[in-house]
Amino acid sequence: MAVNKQMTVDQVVKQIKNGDTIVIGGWGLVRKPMGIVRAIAQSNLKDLTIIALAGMDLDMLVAAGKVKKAITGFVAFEGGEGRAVAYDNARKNGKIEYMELSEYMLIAGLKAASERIPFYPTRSGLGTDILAANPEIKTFKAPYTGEKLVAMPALRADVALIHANKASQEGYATIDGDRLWDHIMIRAADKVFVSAEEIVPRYELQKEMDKIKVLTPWVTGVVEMPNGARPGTLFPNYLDAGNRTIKAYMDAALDPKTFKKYLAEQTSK
Amino acid sequence: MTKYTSREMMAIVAAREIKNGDIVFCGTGISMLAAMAAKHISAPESVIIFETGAIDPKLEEIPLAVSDSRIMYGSSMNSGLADAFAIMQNQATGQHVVGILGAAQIDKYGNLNSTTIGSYAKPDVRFPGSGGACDVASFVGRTIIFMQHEKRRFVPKLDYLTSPGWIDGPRGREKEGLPPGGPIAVITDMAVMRFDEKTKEMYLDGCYPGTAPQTVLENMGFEVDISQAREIPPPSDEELRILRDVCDPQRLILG
Repeated sequence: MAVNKQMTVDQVVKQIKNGDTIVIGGWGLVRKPMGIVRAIAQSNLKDLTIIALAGMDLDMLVAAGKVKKAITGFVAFEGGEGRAVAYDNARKNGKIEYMELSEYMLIAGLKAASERIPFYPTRSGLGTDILAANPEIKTFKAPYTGEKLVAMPALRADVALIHANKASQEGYATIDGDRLWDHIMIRAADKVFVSAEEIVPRYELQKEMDKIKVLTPWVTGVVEMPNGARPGTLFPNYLDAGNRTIKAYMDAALDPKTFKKYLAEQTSK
Repeated sequence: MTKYTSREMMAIVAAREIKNGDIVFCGTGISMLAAMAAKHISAPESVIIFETGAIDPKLEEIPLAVSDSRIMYGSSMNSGLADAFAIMQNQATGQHVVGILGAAQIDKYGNLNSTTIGSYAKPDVRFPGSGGACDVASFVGRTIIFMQHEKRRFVPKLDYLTSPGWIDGPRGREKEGLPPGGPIAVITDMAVMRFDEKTKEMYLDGCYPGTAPQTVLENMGFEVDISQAREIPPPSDEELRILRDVCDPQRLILG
């Protein structure tokens, strides 16, 4: 009998602790595990550090007051009509800690964590204010050639959250379209939770083996969550962002009361 | 002579910079049009890549953004960010990549700001941040930069240096440890700027028809050499036909 890692979204939230570092897959509004994100936004969790190529995921958690620190490659609602109003507000008014990197620096940090080494060398960041603004990121001389390189510190996470097209109960998952960076970041976390449009038997997944990007050894739990990336997009299931929902979010995000109502409406659907 | 818009001019001027066999890193909007136009005009063997990992997509219907899932249709490979950056970092391929970028601010060495305006800790305006821009500007052989020609964008000093250009002159990148390569052209709604081979300082290469070099200068926050300015040839009828009828028949990006 194969292992069964299927669980509910509430069981996922229960495995997250105050102060945890959570890395969230997807890119902008693309293939974000929004169902799990909404559940965290409604939980009692606090003081989270979020690592993301961020769109509405980070923004919603900031709006919900869950975020102590954001580690990002960018923050924008790429792919839809909207702005990261909560992050903007918190960032401009110094209400959260932040580490704003380039995409590759962020990936390099996760690569380091995934290989259990303290840093990953890269040329990305050299000569920029990204290094000036983040003095904890140091440069070093390559021991063999003497070349100057950035020693991007490992970005370790307690929890990784991603959304997939299909998953099996064992914890295999397929990603249609660009896999982005999800296959890298899941290896940098202690626990990995995958929401998927549908849970199917493993032999079904094996019919499209080239799309299996997530393997059972990495995975702690899988959640069946149709439309789990909305109001963002999921290739090829839904290609256009839900701009009306995004607008409703933006109208609600800066007022705690309205925001609570918005969240309740979204999750009751 | 067929009439044309400034966006059409910018797209065609950028397309002319792309050589056959180039690997073109594209962002959202007008850069995508430029890459598509080049593929149909002078660079049929160029390969278009996106930072999200879509490699060599068909682009039958123009995507509105890098994150538009239409990019993933007909891609030769749906890979990931690390794969896209690998093409830029690799010793054989990196120098053949031409990256098309935009920014909120640019200085005379082609360094770019897409992070914040005002103080970094308490910004007046926050932009999305680097995304892949810093990585592209660091790794690839040539970058082309799209800008609106405005004083507040062409600044003597950036509020924040997100993506490296020539840093502070001919040895700037080398001193910082960056690989060879750097910005070759800044394409605006008025003109094309390039960088002096010796000093790596920006100069006015040419103005669009009807724009005087002095007008270009008046829209910049720093002085540049305008003595070499020529008139940039407008889009030909054939270039316009391809742009309008083949690349963006619905004028989704052309407007």
